[in-house]
Amino acid sequence: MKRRFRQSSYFPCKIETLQQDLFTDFFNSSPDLASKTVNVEGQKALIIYMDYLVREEEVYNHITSKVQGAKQLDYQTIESEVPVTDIMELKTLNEIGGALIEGYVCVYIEKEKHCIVIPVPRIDQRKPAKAETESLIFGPQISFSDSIDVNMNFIHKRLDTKTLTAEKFIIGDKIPSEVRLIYLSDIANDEAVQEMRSRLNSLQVDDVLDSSALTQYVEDNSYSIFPQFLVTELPDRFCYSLKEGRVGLLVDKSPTAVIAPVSFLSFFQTTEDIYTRWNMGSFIRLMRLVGMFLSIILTPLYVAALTYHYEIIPDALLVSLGHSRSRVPFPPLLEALILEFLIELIREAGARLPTKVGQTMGIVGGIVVGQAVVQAGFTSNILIIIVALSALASFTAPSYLMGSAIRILRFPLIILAGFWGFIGIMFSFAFISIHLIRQRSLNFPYFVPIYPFQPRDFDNSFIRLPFLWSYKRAYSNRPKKIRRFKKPNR
Amino acid sequence: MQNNRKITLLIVGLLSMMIIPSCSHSKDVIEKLGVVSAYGFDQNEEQVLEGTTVLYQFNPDITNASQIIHSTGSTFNMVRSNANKKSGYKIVNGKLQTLLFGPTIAKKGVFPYLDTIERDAAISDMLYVTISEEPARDILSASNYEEAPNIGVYLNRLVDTAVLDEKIVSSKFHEFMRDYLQVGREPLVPIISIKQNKAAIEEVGIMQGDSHVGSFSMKEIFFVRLLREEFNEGRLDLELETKPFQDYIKEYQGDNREDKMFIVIDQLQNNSKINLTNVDHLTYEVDVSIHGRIVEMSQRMNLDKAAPLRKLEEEIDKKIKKNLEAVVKKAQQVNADVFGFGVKYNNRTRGEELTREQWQDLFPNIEVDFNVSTEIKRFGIVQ
Repeated sequence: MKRRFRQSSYFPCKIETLQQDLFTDFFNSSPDLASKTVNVEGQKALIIYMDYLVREEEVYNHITSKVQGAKQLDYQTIESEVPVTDIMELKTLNEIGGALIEGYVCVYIEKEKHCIVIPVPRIDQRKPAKAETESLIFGPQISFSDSIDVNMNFIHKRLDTKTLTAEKFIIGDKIPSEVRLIYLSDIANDEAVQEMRSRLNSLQVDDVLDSSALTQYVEDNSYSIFPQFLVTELPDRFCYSLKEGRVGLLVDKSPTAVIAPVSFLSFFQTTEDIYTRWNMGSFIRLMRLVGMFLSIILTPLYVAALTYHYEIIPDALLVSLGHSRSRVPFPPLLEALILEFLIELIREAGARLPTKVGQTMGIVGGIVVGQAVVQAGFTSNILIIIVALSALASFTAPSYLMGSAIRILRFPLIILAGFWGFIGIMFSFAFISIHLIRQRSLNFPYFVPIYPFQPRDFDNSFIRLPFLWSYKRAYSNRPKKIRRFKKPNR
Repeated sequence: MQNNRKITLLIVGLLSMMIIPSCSHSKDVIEKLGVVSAYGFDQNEEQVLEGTTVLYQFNPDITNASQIIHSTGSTFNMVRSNANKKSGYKIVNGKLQTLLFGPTIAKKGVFPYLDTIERDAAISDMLYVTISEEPARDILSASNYEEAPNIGVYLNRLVDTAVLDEKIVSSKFHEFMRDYLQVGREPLVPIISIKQNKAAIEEVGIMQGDSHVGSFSMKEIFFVRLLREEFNEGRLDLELETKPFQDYIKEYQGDNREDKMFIVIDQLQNNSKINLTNVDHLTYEVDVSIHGRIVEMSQRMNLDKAAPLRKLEEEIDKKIKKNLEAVVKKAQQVNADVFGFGVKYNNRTRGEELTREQWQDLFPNIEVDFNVSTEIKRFGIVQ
């Protein structure tokens, strides 16, 4: 459809023309365009708006009634009568149309050279809800809402400082979305801010679906299986990261925020580790890392040991393992792949179905199928334990993206273990290590503090030392201020 | 540049695809294996090796995982491949735990068979070398092996428990080889015998090189171990004359004391030092210091006082010294230096390496002097 672009010469015009043009050309005959013509002492005025984008009650009370009740129709009177700020004067049809979409009410008095728009937008937003995917047991339960204003409000409430800087970007050529680059100007590293700014500026896309989609546009290596930016739905985690000198992104209409640069280990940390005492925090952090390692290694180890290296199986296990294996008609590789696939199937089914049915599915799938599979001689019961354990361990990663990455990573490892035994496992571990070492997040090394080796950051990475020992921000983020507080003299 | 990198990656990928599989060895899927846990070797009159192979096998219907295969051959590997002819499972040695040599081979020398095993990287060095005075075939056929999956595992547990209890000297494969290859120190191996269809360790065999020449009883082996190794939590039963203690026993028993008394020392720790005092006349001085705790005493004495305690320690010293002299003499009779006197000698004489023959000429004539000092640290409270 061809749009008419009659520039400044458009006004003055008849109100019927304006109404008709907006209706047919700009809004494609939308039934939602509401308009009212007011006639005061021979002068005609048009009030026009999209009915679901404005607060109609306020339009009636504060605009329509004021216009109707005016003794004389001119913009000055209206502007002084209507109790709303930010009233703009617009001259082109395009501008008016754009304003209407954003929830403005347009008032045009016939024969005038421009029209005015009054903002009365209606924003229906999700109430701030409890965090679902990253829920905490101990600590703030609230998660981001899907409105950028509410989210900014959360952040400002938590970071009540004038150094909190938010830069506005509009991403999306066809459907623009507002993106905010947020950082603490006295702490965040300038290079990180500059890098993120330039990546956002050079981004040319039609639209941005969500912050997690934006992440995939701006991340360092799209081919990697590991997420390079942390996507979180927790305002407290977001603010904690900002205070550590990281940079954050908020995308309008998205209930998640993005944090960068992050290291591999950040995906295994939560703010809960900070809220609980240091010894519990350290224990849980270590447990998550061990869990991740087990989750990756257990099934491949089983496959490799049973196919090639019977020597390493402990004596006590050898007999029971051998007996349960002797019923299985498949080689260990196939056995493990079938069971891993089954577990992924149960997980996916449980996630897609409504909560109540999903739970039932989990129980039915887990217990009934698991029991039946062993009794039918499809797999050995030790493999059931191993696969269930590694699935369980993969869910301890506080970041859903990282948990999924670990679960997927298992499959190539199992296949290599089945073909090459321990050599295959070592090969894949070497491959993964090299990959992780080469990885970058916003041009900052991804595998710190292991590589580049940064022992000064150990106080708050694998473990969390008490604040007496951990009074500095992570060196690897290169914040402007390293010291968080003065070390107490004790 | 980008293109070059892709090509390099492709080449590296393809090369690793081709090269790495050759690193991995043949597929040994567990349920198709007969995992050997013990081998027993005998030799018959025609000098043919008779092997007894004890293995696990995995079958869903049979609860008993053990199988015993008898086979013959002229070498270890032939015995194994002949055994494999009698089994549908692939016989593998990766979990071999015990080697048992029957009397014929033990007398002749076990080294040729151990040599084969050392060359095989799949076989663990942690297996125990044992011998027996009955044919190995009979020992491995014993049907009572407690809750262990098979007789091989049982034998391993049997020896392992005795070693951990510091009852015998450990004879793991690598320890045996070390003692065998080292001049001036001979190996000791447990002798497995069979009692009421159950295998047990009754004696410890003295090896001269790789052949069995004599035995120590379990009582004697304590004193051998005292010189060879250190005790952490040893236990010693001694029989003492009561005559030296008559004054102290009188207090409780009057004059009707018994002639012998038994004491048990526990938590015994020792420190033994062998010094070569005269190189030319080969005289050794051995300082043995022992400390421990008395847990049992068959005659009542008041050890709170210093005098009876000193006296008791003195008598224990004498008794231990007597026993030490006896075991050294026994070793000299069979001409097998299980204590390592030769190593000390070799260390002191420079230039020429001591040979086995030289030391066998010298060892029977060495003189050993013992200084034993016992300290009773605790003796319990008796009130």
